[in-house]
Amino acid sequence: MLEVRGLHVSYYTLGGVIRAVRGVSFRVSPGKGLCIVGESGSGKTTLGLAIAGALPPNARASRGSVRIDGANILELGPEDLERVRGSLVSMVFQDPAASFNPLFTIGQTLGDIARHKLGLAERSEAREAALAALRRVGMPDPERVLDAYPHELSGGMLQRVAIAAAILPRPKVLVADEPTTMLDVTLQYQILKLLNRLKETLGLALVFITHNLGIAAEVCEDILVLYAGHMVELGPTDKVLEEPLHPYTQALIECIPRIDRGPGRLKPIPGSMPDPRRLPGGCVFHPRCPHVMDICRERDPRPVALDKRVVSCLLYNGEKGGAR
Amino acid sequence: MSKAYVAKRLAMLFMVVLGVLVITFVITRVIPARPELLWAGSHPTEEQIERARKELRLDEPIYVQLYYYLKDFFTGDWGVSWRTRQPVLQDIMESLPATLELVFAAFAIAVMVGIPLGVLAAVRYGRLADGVVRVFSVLGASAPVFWIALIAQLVFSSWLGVLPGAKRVDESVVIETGFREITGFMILDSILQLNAAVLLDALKHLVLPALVLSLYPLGLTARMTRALMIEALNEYHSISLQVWGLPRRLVVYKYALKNVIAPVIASLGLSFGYTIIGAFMVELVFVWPGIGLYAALALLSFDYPAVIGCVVVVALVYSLVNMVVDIVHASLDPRVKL
Repeated sequence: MLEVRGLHVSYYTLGGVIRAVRGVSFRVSPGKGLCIVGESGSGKTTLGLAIAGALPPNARASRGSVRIDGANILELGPEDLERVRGSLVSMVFQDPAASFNPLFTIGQTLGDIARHKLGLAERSEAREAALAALRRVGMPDPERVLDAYPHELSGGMLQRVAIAAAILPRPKVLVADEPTTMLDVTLQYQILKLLNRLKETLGLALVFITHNLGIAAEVCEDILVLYAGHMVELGPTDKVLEEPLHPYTQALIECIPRIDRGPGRLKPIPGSMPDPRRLPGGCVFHPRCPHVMDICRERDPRPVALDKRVVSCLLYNGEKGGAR
Repeated sequence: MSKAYVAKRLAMLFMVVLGVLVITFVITRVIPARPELLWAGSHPTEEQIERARKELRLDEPIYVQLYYYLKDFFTGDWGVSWRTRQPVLQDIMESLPATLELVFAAFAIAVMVGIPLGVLAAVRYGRLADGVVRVFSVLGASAPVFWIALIAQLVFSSWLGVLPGAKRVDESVVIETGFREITGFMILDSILQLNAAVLLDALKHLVLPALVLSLYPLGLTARMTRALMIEALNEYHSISLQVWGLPRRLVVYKYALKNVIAPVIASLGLSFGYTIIGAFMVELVFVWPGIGLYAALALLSFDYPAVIGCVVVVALVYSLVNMVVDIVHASLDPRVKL
């Protein structure tokens, strides 16, 4: 069980403090998937890195907790973090070709992971574990792949290998950060199917990060919409997609081309994401919101539980009395 | 590595040597000097000078001289040194091992000290150790080698007296122990003969000039290693390996380090030329009987065959070293196919 509570993450840079994630809470059960959706700069990758215990040195989680089976990742020292990474939580990234050191074979990389995370000192044992991981991600001809260098494999194959590397130490949580963005559409679908299958067979809690709401529906039971580091809406996938509550979610869905709507122009969201160093006062979305009210410029909306989900919008603050 | 590649490289090597030969030959013939005066001995008469011109073929047109020179050169006759009156090839074969020993020692120091220093600086990026390494490497790569050689000689040899300041070995030790030359490499020969006394003495003589000569490639290596290591550690693959659970230690010293080694070796190959020039100066200061000392004396006495021989040998060694470097590079990086 992955449980994130009131998480705040900031980057400390020469240009000032960048508040990338501000007050995000959610939970993901084993075998279930949560999709984090947002535009670039919404803080979704930072959130993923925080869960994977891999925040860069200039980032700090200033408030909140990330618990996996009760243990708070954010409180671990460097050595414990090294132990937890891979074994408890792992991550795959957007660009599979950049995820592997080009000078080492897949077998060397996977073998080292097996040696260090599963304690397999024997060469043959480590190789066997690597092979098993490759088979689990449905890799054809895994023996040959082990002896290959990354540049000898295609992007789709490498993304499978990356997933194999991530699940090899049998983590409980897998963060997938836009794992299909660099792949063509048929491969995207295969990778989504694979993640779905792994999630169910291995009992993984899957955190799937994407900017594409259409993909979200394929793999995840729940959707979390992120805007400028703020949690905008969280709820079951079908609910959020069919009856979005938050104006931002509604606007995002308007942007998806749909085959059943006939021809016509898509409606882009006017304006752009605010500069994270100078967020607007009140609700962060108010400068672009079609339903903006006077109060939105002053009050920061609290997350409200409504219709099986959580939404942060002042439109709904009156209805259920601000319950958390 | 294909046979065609090796053949191509050897053909290129031949072209380089030929080009160097022609250029240095032409340069030595067009500068206004009268080398026949040296050949003719002291206080020569007009006839003696005329005879010297004939013997040295200086009375022929330059292309005829070049033709004869090239013909002789490729049959192994590099001419006779006008200064030592010995065959140039023999002179060079006697002095080249001393230079190579010095240069190889300097490169060994550069690699063994420079790479760890660069890695240390990269791992402690922005901290004190990083600053110290950066200052040291810039000083090492920019201080003039002859000046450092003189200072080192003054301090360690004259003032402190801890290390010898000249020559490759103490002659008396060589004579007492019955040491013979086999390859011309003092260290190697003394090991082959299990001659500890000569080995120790040769090492003592080697330390100071090799250290001085190593400063340039060492500074270069440390700076390159540092920059490449910082880059490698910021690459996605270094991050993903750690996210997948590999210890940082392993990611730094096994994975990222390998990305660093190949380009560092390539840059060392290119710096070989500068280091040989450095060796010329170090040899002059430390009276090191190598090709640099030989070439300097040859230049000062307009000893053209010796000068051309030295230039060609240096070009040859430089080309060979870079060929080896390319092969090493290809063996480290699976993406490079030769």
